[in-house]
Amino acid sequence: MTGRRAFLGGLAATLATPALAANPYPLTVSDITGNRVTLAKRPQRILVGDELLFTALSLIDPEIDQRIVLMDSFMKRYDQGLFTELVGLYPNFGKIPRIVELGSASMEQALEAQPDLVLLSLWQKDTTVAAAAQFASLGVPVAYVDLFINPIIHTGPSMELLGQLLGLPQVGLAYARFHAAHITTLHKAGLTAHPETVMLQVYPGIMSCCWAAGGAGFGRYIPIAGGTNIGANHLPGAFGGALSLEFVLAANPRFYIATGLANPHQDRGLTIGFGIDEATARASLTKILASPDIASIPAVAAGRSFALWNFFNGSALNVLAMEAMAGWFHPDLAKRAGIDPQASFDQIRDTFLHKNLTGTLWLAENAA
Amino acid sequence: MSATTAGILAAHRQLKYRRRLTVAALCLVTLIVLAADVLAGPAGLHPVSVLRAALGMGGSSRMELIIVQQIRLPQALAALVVGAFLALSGAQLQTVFNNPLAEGVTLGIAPAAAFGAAIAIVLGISLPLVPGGWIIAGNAFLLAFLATLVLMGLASLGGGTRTLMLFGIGLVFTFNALIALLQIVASQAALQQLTFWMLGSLAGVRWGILWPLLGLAVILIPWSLSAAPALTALRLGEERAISLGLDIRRLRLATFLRVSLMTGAAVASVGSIGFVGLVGPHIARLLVGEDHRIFLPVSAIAGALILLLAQLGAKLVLPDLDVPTGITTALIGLPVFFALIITRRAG
Repeated sequence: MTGRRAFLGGLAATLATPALAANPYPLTVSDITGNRVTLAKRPQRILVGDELLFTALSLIDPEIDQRIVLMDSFMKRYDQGLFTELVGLYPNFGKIPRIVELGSASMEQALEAQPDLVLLSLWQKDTTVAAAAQFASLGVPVAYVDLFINPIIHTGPSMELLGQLLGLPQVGLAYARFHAAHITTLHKAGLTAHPETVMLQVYPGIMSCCWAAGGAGFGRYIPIAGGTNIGANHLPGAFGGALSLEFVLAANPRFYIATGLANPHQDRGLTIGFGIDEATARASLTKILASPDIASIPAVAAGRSFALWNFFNGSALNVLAMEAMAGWFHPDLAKRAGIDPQASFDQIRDTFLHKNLTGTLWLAENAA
Repeated sequence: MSATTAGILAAHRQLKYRRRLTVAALCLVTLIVLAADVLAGPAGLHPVSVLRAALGMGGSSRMELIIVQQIRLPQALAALVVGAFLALSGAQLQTVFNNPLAEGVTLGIAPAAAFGAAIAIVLGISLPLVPGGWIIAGNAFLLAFLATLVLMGLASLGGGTRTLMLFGIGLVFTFNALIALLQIVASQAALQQLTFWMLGSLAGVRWGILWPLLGLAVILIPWSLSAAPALTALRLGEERAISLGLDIRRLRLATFLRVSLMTGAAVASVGSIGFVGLVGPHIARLLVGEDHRIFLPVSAIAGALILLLAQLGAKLVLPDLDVPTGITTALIGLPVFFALIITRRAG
């Protein structure tokens, strides 16, 4: 394992040096929606329409912050922890001009930035169709990737695609292989033989009880980790929906998972994520679990409560959330299969990220 | 006694009897729906188990006790009180403004409350003197009160009912525009929370919210009913009411105060629920006429019944989801209202 990690690390580091890689441009590839994307040269003025994609991009190019000319401010607005960490780690990250979101209102700024590549997430497709068409009419290539709607299937191809577009195809491919290998381990661990019922509540303390995971993101992670989302048959939409507390109590899920973001100054909700130490995350989880509605859920009363960083939704690091859940739902099977999210994260950091990004991304109420 | 007088007396007695019968029937239906609301729910508890848990007779599981005592009972009772508050507010406003479209929503009181909630949800800003856990409710209540104070100020300056009504509509547009502005900058989570709040939902009601509501009900409902004779006189027209010795300005100010407290409390507790304040009084008017001694209590019962039916309907159609009550209120209340109009016309 260590040897493989060292090899992958060396490979990624070598291939991340553009001068050593063969020039692949001009390049034509298909994006995740099947659209053909043609790049005449290596993109140096990238417009990132989904700020959360920065982490995925930084796994491929450690100096990606130098190549982005405009980004939306999704992360800046909602996850201060990750934003602050990235400002500290990437010298140009904080200086990149931001728009609220890519759409008709920001089109002038977007065009003024003169991007040579526009990157968007599939979940934004409905709201960015007009902007994408406008860029296409000007000959600016637009590519959609997906780390949220169908993350198990699309994370690998999306990372491969990003690698190709950025001119570092081997790194993208290496991450896709890393992801696929971990998904295969999860599949082979026998976790799905006896699935456990799970209530994954999104933003408790901020949104009233009980907004549950839907058909995308966490809703896809839970089954592969050997769980059954109690809202699955009721909330088919990507973003989930509100289950009644009585339904949650009657469903009597075996596990309860709360999600939150890294906003240490908020007085409500779960504080968890990059830049957050374990003590802070634990204190906020304890507070959430003590609220009467959540405390009434039997899984919480029995101490089977956990917490996850909400932006595992839409993140290339999604496999860490799946592995953490596998360990919670089926500790013996996960251990036997060698599933260890911390080891996976260390591997991602050493092999792809090359930066000391720290924080608390998952947490068990009763740490073993 | 002449034959004509005897006839009039007999007709009056018959009218009183019919009204009593209507009130009794309405009360009975409301009680039945209240019971059905407590009995129904996604957990599919047996009625006997529900009864045992509701009365604390022992032998109930922890889950049964939580579901019945902590979820179903406070929600059902809140529907009763909030429905009564909204309809009673609407009834009094319609009389004071002499306008059948007057109610908390159309006069800007409820939109003001919604704006108060929105600044708490989206910007996290609380107005002074509002403690942490009550930021949303507190802001809603305070803004509703402020909007009413503005209306009261205008009324005390001698603005006519039409001017007041127009001013109220102006407030509606202003607060709705401000809410829309906040929605643009709101995060996804805040937007979802705000949307739920603006649609109105009884799902979050627990005893902590219900007790203050019940406390206010004990004061505000009798206070409203005590104004019935004066409001009946006002219904005859301002000039006739003044000739009967009524201090209209004082009556109007007292009504505004009651209405702001009831609307503010209702909106702060369950969010913005429209329709009940408008239609509750109209149903009452169709059933018992304009005598406020009976019109006001029947409005309150009709409002309570609409909200209870809305909650029960949501539970029966989509039992597992938290469907905002504001959505089902109009869907269930409107057919009842139209049926009543049509049958009355046919009769």
